[in-house]
Amino acid sequence: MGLLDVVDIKRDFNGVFALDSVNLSLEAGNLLCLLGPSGCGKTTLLRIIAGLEKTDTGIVKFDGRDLSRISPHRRAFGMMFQDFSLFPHKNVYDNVAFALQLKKESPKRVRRRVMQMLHLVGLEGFEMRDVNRLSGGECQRVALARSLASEPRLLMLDEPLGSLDRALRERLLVDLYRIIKQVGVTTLYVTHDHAEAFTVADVIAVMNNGRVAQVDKPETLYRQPANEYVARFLGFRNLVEGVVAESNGINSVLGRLYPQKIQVSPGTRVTVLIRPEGARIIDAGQAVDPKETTILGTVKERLFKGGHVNLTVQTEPGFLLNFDFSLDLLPPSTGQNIRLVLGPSAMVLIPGTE
Amino acid sequence: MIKIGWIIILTAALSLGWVPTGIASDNTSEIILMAHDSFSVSKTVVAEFENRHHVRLRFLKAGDTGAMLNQAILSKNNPMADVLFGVDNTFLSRALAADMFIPYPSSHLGDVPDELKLDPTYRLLPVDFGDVCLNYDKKWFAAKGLAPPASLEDLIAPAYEGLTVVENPATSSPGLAFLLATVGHFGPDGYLDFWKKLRDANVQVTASWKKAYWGSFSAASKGDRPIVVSYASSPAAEVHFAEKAMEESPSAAVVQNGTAFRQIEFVGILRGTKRADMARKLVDFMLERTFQEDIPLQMFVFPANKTAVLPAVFKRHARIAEHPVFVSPQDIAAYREEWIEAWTETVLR
Amino acid sequence: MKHISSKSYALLAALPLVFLAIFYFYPLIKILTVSLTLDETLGFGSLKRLITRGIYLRTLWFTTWQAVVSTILTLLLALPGTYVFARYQFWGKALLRSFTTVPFVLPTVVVAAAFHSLLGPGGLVNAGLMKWFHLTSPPVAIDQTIALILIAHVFYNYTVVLRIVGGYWSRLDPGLTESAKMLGASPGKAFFKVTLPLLSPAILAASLLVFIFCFSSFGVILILGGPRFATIEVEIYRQAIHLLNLPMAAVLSLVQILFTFALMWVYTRLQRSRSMALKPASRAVTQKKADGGIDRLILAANVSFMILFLGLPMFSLMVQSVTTETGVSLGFYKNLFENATESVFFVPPADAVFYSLGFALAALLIALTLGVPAAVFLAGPANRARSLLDPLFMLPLSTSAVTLGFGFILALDKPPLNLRTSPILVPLAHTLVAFPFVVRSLLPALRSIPPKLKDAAAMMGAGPLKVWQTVDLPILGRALVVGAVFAFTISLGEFGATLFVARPQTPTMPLAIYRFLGQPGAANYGQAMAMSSILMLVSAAGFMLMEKFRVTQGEEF
Repeated sequence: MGLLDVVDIKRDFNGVFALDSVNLSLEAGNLLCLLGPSGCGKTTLLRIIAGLEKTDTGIVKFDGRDLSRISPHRRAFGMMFQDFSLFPHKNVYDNVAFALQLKKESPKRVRRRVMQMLHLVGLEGFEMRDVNRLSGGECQRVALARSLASEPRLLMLDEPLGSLDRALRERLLVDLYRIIKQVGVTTLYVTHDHAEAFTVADVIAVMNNGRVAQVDKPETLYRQPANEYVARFLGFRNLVEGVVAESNGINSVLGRLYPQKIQVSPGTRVTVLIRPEGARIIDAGQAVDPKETTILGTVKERLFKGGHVNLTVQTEPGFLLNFDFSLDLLPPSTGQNIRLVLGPSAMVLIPGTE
Repeated sequence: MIKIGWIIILTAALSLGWVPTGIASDNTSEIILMAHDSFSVSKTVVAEFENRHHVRLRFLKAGDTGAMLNQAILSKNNPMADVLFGVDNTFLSRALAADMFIPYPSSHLGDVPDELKLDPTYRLLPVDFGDVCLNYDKKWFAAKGLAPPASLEDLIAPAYEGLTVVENPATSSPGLAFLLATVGHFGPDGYLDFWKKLRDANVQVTASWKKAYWGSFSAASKGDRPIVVSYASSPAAEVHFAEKAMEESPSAAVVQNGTAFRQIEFVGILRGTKRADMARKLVDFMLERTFQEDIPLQMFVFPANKTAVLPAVFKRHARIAEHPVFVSPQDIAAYREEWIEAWTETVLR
Repeated sequence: MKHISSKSYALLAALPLVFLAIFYFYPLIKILTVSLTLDETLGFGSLKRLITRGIYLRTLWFTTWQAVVSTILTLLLALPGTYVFARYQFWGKALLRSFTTVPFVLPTVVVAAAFHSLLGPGGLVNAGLMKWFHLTSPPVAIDQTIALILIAHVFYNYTVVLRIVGGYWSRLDPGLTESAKMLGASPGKAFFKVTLPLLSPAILAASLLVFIFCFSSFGVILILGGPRFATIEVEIYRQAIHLLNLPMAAVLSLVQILFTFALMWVYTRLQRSRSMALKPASRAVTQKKADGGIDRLILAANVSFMILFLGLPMFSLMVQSVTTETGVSLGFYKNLFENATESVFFVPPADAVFYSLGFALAALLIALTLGVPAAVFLAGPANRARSLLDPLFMLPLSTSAVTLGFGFILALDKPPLNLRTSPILVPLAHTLVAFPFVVRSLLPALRSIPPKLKDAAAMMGAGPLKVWQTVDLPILGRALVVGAVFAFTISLGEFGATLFVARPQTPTMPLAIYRFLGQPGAANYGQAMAMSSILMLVSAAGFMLMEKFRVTQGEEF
């Protein structure tokens, strides 16, 4: 039982299931990321938790209490919308102070709190500014300050970096994370960007078509995606289909693969994920471990990425694989032949496709 | 969809260019008659005039009598028409004072009774007259077993309390006519007393004839007043414009002595017309039997020409007041505003 | 980032100004000078009478307060309906919206007849109440009371609020109210603290129009209110037409114009100061289907109110048009096509419809051609010229039809402006009234376009015209339709001024109706009702057609 419990939420729009039996639990002080492509239902789920939309079945519980009968303005949740929705007819101060003024706090206390928030988000001196003239990053900070001002029990963010440009995004993400952790508020963060999710989340829930595909800590998620969908969504491209052999190993187009733990019966169709950083370049005559698989191929594409080089390798059976190599290893250029070795630690077995 | 729409709009706008752009004032093959909105004449009569004189007769309608007269006065240095029809005896003095007509003692005036010829200078010649008087709902009075009103005094009798609807003389022409009837009947010193009593008798006042007739008069609407100020020809109109042919009119007019006010309408040739000759021919035509006999069923007033034969429906259902109340046009011009204001003070405040 | 030079702005304002100069100021000045010089005291005698005799001051007072009360009442009753239109999708929406606009075109005489048949002493409501409660006299006696005036004003103006505020509201980002709710505001507080302030430019625009309409109300006061009530407009009419007292009429006109100019100056400043940039939200986001009990209740309550309050009178008109002595039939409609009296002034219904529509289209085109540049000009940065022209462009709306009509006679009598007897005067007169409506409909939308959007487009290499085409025009799309609908409607139903300038060769539907009501007789009454019904149907069809002319590119706003 976490601070926030989502129990068996179902929501359908005219026969199309927006959410289908969603169950989630969020511990106090944690940041849970709802990760998924557009249309997977993450925003709908967020809005249901906020109380802005109804659910067909299932309940949302907060601190053990069923929220069904509690209207959104009484839930004391903070929400940051994708386009910030700052009040255009109020200046920065009044935007941030809005919740406090509603509670009829004394002007002195309001002022103190507003200045505190502005300081927290790094916008001191902005009180009198017109929100229509702020830059994207400044808007985001004001929106954050506004939602934190009344000390919400739960903070919800709907693609907070979605409308910002790339360069800004990375910088603001770190700031956002720092602020949230500093305040210590339990947070629900919706995004479609897995890099973002990895940076900020304590727990990630990957969603697909209204269902939760996998809930795990970021590292676990990365190391062991639960199915092919999650793997692909996280950006993994080296997915090889195969069948579990009688003895150890998987028979696949690349030959026999030996991922670490095979707990599935022989004959089952599985997918093997090969990590992009899990390959080793060897020369022709070098010795190889029996559990390692050798792959021969040609470099199709070589992309310099600053700290590493990304190679797309076409293997003999016409299959494309993607690997990252440190610069120091002097990775070969396009057109050259390459010999790679994959060890068991480089491979992850993925049970199904989902 | 948008493209088709623009084509439609442009076509419609361009086709408006087809519409006759205006009335040219110099064309000698046409003559223009300016009249008020109630003016009407049948096509055959117009055709007869046009064929006889080989001229196009065109019309310019300019609102009600007051609006029309104003427009004529304002444009008198550059008149919009050749002949003006519709000035009535309540406006006669004002119209003559504006000096915008040229005299024409038409030979046809011989057929017109003398009491209608209110302008000795022959600048405005009488064409028709209507008697503004009370109308009552026959069925209502029969059902109540009450005798219909036969005089103005009846209206203030206790039995007739709350039965009458009149029009505001400040905004309605028949309303003004009825006020003048009371001034003529009770005298300028006595009429206010009558109105005070009528007001105490719960008389209803509306702004216009349309509102009184179509809104309050029980014989013509779902209203609850069986007595209304209308015209002596209204019962005939009820029969003529009924849905199905009827033998009896649902309403009747009160034309006894001293209860009706005669409204006479005049025609005059506008000073500055470039077609004075044809204008005279038109005035003659309007006093002739052809035109005069067309008047009753077109405008529901009586022809001035005493030799004109009335249509059957008029003979059966319309009455001419024997001795209508008379107030001189000069008095009307001089005291109109004062009488109306006094009336307003007495009845509305 | 300024992407329109001030020279181009000046050109924009020039077009409507020239039009107003020729067809409004010139006739106005002419009639006022002629009227005042008719009097030896040059009008000052009349002015003295006006000030010293309490009756005129009382008239001014009454004119003002009935307009204020009417406006507030209209807002209160129409805003819930506007909410429903802005936020919900439901079946029959376009139809209902057209339906609510039809009252605007109905001549007052006809509306009086309709209200009478419903609420008069012998009308439906009283008959029903008397039967159910066994009463001896009709309980509802609102004929010729201020209540009926107010009801009629709401009846006419409901659509003004619905369309102007509705169009604007439907672009309002619902995220704003949702943010407010998440920050702890109850739905009521969210409305008053967030929605209402953001709507205020549109609400001000709509209430300004409603106020002026009610201030210069003529037919409603005269016919529905009766002789006990007089507004300045009625008084001008009386003085000019019945008392032939042009100097007094002129003085009253001047007072009316100056008074409304002052009011509008205040109003337009208010509106400008409250406009702000709004990120336009697409309809997909702002509108949803009614979901759940409370939603459905609100929707049902408002739709029922609209249908009952606006529909019953119109429905009773149509019922009367098919109620003959022999039962329900289309007899009156058939009669319309027959020239029973052989009069040369017979109006074939097709002609009336054709000319009405023709004039309305012409007025629409001219009003849009003038209104769009005027609105674009006024939406620019505030300066002295703009704060003067903003209320100035509204003046024709508040000027008496009598004054203007006479002005036309005096001013337009010599070539090249020899138009006083020309039918083109009809759409020109209509344009004078429609043009302010168009401007008022467009301004809130124009002022709400975020400059960032335009800058972004300009940065991508779009010249000012292209920016306008790709950014402003789609956002304006809805507002343009609103303006066009009003121009069209005003022309179709215009009656007062048209009486002055219409010519028998080009009859319109309201004139035909008026003609029928000029003589007694059940057949005349029935045909008047039939023609009124045709007017209603033609108008409704016209509105629905115009709704399809949304200038959109891509996302619908």
